[in-house]
Amino acid sequence: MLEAIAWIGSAFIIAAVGLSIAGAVGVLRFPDVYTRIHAASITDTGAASLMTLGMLLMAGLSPAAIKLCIVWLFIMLTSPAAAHALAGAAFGSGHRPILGDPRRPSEDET
Amino acid sequence: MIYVPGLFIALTALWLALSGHGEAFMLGLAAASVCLSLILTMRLRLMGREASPYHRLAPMARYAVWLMGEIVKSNLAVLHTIIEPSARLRPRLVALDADGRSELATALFANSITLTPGTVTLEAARDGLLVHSLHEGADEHEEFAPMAAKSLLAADGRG
Amino acid sequence: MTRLLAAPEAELVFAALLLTLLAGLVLALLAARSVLTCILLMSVFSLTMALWLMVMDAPDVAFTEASVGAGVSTMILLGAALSSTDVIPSVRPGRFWFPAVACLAAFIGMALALSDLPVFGDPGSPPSSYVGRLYLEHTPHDIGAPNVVTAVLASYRGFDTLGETSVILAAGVGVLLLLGGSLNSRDPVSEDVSLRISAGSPVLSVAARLLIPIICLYAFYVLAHGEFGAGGGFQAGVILAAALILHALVFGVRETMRALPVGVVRSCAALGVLGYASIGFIAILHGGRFLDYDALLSPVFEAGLPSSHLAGGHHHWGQRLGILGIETGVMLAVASTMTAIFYAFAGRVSRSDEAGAA
Repeated sequence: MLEAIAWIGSAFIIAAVGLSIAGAVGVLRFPDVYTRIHAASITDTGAASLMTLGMLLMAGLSPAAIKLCIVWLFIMLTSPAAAHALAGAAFGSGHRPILGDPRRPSEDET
Repeated sequence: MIYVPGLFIALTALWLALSGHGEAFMLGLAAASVCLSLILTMRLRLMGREASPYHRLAPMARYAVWLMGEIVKSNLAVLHTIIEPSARLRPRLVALDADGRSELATALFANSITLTPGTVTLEAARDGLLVHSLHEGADEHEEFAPMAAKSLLAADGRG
Repeated sequence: MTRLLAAPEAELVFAALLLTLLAGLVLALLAARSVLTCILLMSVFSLTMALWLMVMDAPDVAFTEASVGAGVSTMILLGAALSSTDVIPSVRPGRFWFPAVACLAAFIGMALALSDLPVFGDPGSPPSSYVGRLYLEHTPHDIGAPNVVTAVLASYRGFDTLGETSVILAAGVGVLLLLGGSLNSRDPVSEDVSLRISAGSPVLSVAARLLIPIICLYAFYVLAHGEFGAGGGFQAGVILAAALILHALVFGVRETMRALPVGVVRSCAALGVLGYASIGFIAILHGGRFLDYDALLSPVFEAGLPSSHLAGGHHHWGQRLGILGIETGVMLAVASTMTAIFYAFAGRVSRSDEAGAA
């Protein structure tokens, strides 16, 4: 039983690794800073949550489980603030976001 | 001031959850540490609603459960976009109204937007937010209205 | 806890991946042409290094690397970068050859010496045969601290650690002398716009208000639990400094200086080292040797204390209190020195802004 739960946990961790890779691919494929932040936030939210969930299943009922929950809460509180600071700094220093359909040259540069 | 006892309880709970050492000497250290942290918090002029929103823990927890669902949905949407960017990538800027909210509610709204992949808050001010969104939306006010209402309810207790 | 990746092959693959990543980061650092890129890459390098140290079963060192290398020193370097130019000048090819040959020669020398090093985890190697083994065997009886690293650092080698703490203070004093920071806290810093991240955004101010009390508590937690697990005065001091620097970044360094004036912070740095040394002198006054914590409490007084949970029949309150005392001194010295250095950089940036505006 415990062995099975640990295997399910490692399945979650492998899924998290897949999401992280997808996030990294997105960072490379997307055209500008702002769209790349969206791709990176998959790693921040989805991958981090799945990773914590997997480790929680592997840890079982132990003090480590409480610490994992605290770490997860900390990530959920800090990562949006950091992403906002990054996006705000890029916007504040004059980086124009690409708007509309990136395949066509955009006509409304606002 | 319900903030000082609120923060005191929250910090003590955090220490006990992390520590797991229940002997008197360690508990004494815990009390000293919590008091020192409270003194530093007050000295740095941080004490207030934002430093200690722990009296709103129950509505915040309900909101967090709903938000997790949204995060799962938008994770899938952005994954789809990563697979075929040219068909789905339509970045746009959305200005949202955040008037009449407390600072805590504005921050909660802005952070929820950033936390759901596909939308990120570029600028936040007391009266409004500027949001960068990855996808085309039908109607911006419809789109963000549930999150705006629910985060306001969680942070300020009114809809 | 079930370990599914207990196979040594899996750990080997992980170690190889980490080392490749570290080597790649070094190459990226060499290729970087912007100071900002270098600082961020060094932060990533430190985090990867911390991971590597965890793989090597050295959590105390990993903790220090993560908090000092990736945390506070990145912040201080960013502060320094703001008062300098961003582009690294390219080196002319003529100046390139001598350092290249010197580096290559040193590399070949080290590679040749590599075969003489003991194998990882070799029980017969010098570090694990003489004093190292002695410390491991005697700590449960002599010191009673479950974390042998803390026992060695704070008790057996307490004098060395006093030296290290003084070095940190001396380095801080050196940086302050170089930067020429003024002692008067009301004086130089007028409008610190440069060292603030998105001033006035409720997202950041709410996050900072929420997190700073928690980070402060975590610093004290790390200090108090150095006896049991990874942690101690150095890490705690750096974490506390990070909380203060976060406050300065979000609310402006003037606001932080109002709460903790420059003079107070600088005095605290010296007071930390002084407190550490005084514990050594108290031991002398009680008839022991310098930093001999067993002499801190009189046997009569110690007999009245409840038995410490650490030892069978032995009292180790002197050791416990002594270790906690010197770790507190270390924390105070480290946190104050880091904050003082950050203050000096922040003050410098706002002064150069004024000069630019005038």
